[in-house]
Amino acid sequence: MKKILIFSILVLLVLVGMGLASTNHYIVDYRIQAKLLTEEKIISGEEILTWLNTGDIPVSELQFHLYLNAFKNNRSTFMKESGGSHRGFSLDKDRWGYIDVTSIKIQGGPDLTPSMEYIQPDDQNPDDQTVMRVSLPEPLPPGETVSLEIIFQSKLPQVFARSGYKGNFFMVGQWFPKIGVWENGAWNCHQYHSNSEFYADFGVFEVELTLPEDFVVGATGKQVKEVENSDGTMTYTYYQEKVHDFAWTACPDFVEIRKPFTLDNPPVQTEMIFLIHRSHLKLKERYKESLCNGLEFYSQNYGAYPYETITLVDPPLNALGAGGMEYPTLFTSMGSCFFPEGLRMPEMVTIHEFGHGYWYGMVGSNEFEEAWLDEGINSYSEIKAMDHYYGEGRSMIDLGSVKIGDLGYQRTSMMGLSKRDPIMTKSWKFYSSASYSANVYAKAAITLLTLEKYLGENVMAQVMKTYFQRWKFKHPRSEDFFAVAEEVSGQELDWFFNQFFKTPGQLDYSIGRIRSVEIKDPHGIFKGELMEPDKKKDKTEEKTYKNEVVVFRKGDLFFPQEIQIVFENGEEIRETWDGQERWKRFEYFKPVKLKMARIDPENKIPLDINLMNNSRLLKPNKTPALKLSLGFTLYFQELLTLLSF
Amino acid sequence: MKVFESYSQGIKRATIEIKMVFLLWLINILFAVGIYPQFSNYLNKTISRSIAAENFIKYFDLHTFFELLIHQGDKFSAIISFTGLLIIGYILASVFLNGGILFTLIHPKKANQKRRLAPVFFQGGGKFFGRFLRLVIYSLVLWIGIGIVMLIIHLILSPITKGSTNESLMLGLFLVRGAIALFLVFLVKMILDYTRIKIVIQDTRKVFLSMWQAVGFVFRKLGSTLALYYLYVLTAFAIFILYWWAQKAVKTHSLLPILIAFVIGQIFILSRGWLRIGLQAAQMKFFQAAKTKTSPIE
Repeated sequence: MKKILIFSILVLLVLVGMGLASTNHYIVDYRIQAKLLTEEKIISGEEILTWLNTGDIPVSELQFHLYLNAFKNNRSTFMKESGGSHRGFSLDKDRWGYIDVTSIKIQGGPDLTPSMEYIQPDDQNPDDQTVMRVSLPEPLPPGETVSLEIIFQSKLPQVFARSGYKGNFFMVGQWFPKIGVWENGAWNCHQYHSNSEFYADFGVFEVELTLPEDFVVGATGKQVKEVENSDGTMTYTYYQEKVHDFAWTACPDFVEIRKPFTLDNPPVQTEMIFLIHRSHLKLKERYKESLCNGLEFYSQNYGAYPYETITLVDPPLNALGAGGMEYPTLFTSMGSCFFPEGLRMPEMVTIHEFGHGYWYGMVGSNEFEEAWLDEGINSYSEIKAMDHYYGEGRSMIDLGSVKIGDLGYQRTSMMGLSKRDPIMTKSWKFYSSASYSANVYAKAAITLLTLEKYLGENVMAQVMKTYFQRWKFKHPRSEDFFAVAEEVSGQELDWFFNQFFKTPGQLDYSIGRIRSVEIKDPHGIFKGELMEPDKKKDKTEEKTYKNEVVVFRKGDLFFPQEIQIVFENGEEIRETWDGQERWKRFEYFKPVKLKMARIDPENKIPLDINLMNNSRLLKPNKTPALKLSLGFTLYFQELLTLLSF
Repeated sequence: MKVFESYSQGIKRATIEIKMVFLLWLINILFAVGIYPQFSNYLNKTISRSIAAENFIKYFDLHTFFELLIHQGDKFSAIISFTGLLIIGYILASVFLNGGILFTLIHPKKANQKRRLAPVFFQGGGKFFGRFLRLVIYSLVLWIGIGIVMLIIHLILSPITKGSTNESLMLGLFLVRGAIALFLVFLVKMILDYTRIKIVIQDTRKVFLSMWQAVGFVFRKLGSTLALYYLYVLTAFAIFILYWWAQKAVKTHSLLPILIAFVIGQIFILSRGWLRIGLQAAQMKFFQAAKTKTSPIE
């Protein structure tokens, strides 16, 4: 009997546990009904948000992002910082965008609308309305939830900075009042900046979208319901758990293509949904192939893609401001029908934006404060995937005899523009948007590639996998990544992370000098006696050379170096140097002269800012210079023949 | 005179005047010699001791080229600026060459007579330099005219593409605009060719008047003048295809093929000079024949 009682209690406990486990414990739970007014470019929405206080102190106010207000006027922080231009696209000044919260109240409780107030936690710009605060009538205790009813209207701008409309194309991102992240006893709710992306808590989204029936729609998550309304509209319901944002797109000119994607190891089963603008149908195979490559590469290297859908949106040519952007389970790519196969922009953008699903979508990095955790890690993954599928040194451009790999492409950005800021800089505090891009994308990616070469490819693969598995659906900080790297590699890496992520310094080593000098016979007075060279000496006798190689550290930062020294007879010596002093001399007394010396012979340090000075030949090889000089001269001559007036 | 006859006579004349072809090539290469040492010194200093540059032998390594521009770009910019000066110099030289070519063409070698090219050519170049330089300035009227026509075409076509997402249409209209622009440029160049021919044949100093009369001549015989011009354009295109194919066939991975490719390039430059003389000769024949028949432009 006693055993039965204990067993019954255990069963009861398990059942209770299961019941608890199935209860929704997400921090945010959004239920949104939205209607798109296509003529007015307005989304009329009602949002029920349930928010859980996961902190350990009561919360007396809530903060919300109202991102679209960045496009409300020319004095918002975004517009001031960007000068009205983003990634080369300008905001049409007659087509402002904004979001009006007309009502906010606790469900079945008091109206909070009177307490609504715009705040500017980052720059105190009184004209910025991208963050809103409301006061709760009573502080919300830890572990408790509050449900709010919010009524809002979002006016979309003409496509600009990821979102908006162009003609009948709509890309709707950052469009609803979105609660900030409560962490460490405070709100993390930054204003919308020109250089920053986003940060939010994971949760569940159930969104009903109503719009004219001729529109083809795509959205975050899975479409679970479709209702035809009597007024010529359709209502689509989308549902998705474990995501921190919801975006959608609509256009009558989309051609929808659905393809299943399966992978055995690790097991992945998802549906690829392509919404390709009909003007770009030529790109569909390129999009398909690159998305499959992305799904395979990221699943095998970091973790199985867990969602049931992945949607690729291809914006039309006149709405490229919406292109190249990621949202959970949905992203926008970009391309043109006239891109030749060897110009792999559509492939790169597809793999990159899909990859964000891992480093922004699932690993919930704070892109305001530590953008590199998403952009940098994702650019690193992108380079690896591009090189894997399209070939190292030619993965970006492979047009006849003109080639460049993704790494080379990223290096060009890093070389010229990354020296003003550390990678770990808050997004809006970078010197310029070019410095932001060069650091958080290119330099961070190349730093990780350098770390990979230092730790070894297998160890780094394990670092990345562990980091992803440990931090998916959580909010890691840079220190968490560093800790995983140290733990997995078993190495103390402070020297690496402190230098390369926390300072703006540059890494540059060069072969400063290389020479071979014949050692002459003694000549002069030695111990009081005059010594003359032996003139009868056999001329064929072997000479001895003093071979000297001097390596310089020209940059501020250091990195252990390997130096390859090759002699004329093919003999090779490998030296190592901790790279900490400003220079290091290597000397060899041998019967042969040097041929060349090279730092980092296996190209393990792509972070070195100047690869041209990494090697030096004793006798110059003039053939490349001759080929280029003659080539340039010939082009010049050809140009002259066209200039007769 | 029929167009094909003028065309073939032009080709024949250019072949006879092979010394003049070499002279044009020589002047072209003299300007190029001004730029070669700049490139050569720069590249020898910057890349010849670096193993990273070895890729250039196999293909045009954009990554290394960008490295070069980023780290040593100042010197490269200086060379490009210098190139700009040389181009201005060549344009002036070309004005001189036009005089030389046409003056030589109206003083053909007679049978059994030895004619020295240089005195005739340079005499002609010097004699007509001032007039042809004025023509360059007056021709601005025609170039501005082209600009206005292109602006009108832009105003007509841009509403079609505004807001459009049809990339084929956009590319199509872009090509149409390009083709129209090229056609107009060739038309103006042709008008200037006939102006110069008229100035040389009639030894007139009335440059502006000659230009307007050439406009009249070209438009009166638009089909023939265009046909003749485009026969030469087609010939030039055919030669270019041949040159492109030859360059592609040479794998420039070592010193000898690099030099061979350069020599092939020089043959192409020679062919450009040959065509230039051929075109001028053909147009001159056509103009003289037309004038004999109808005295059309007086």
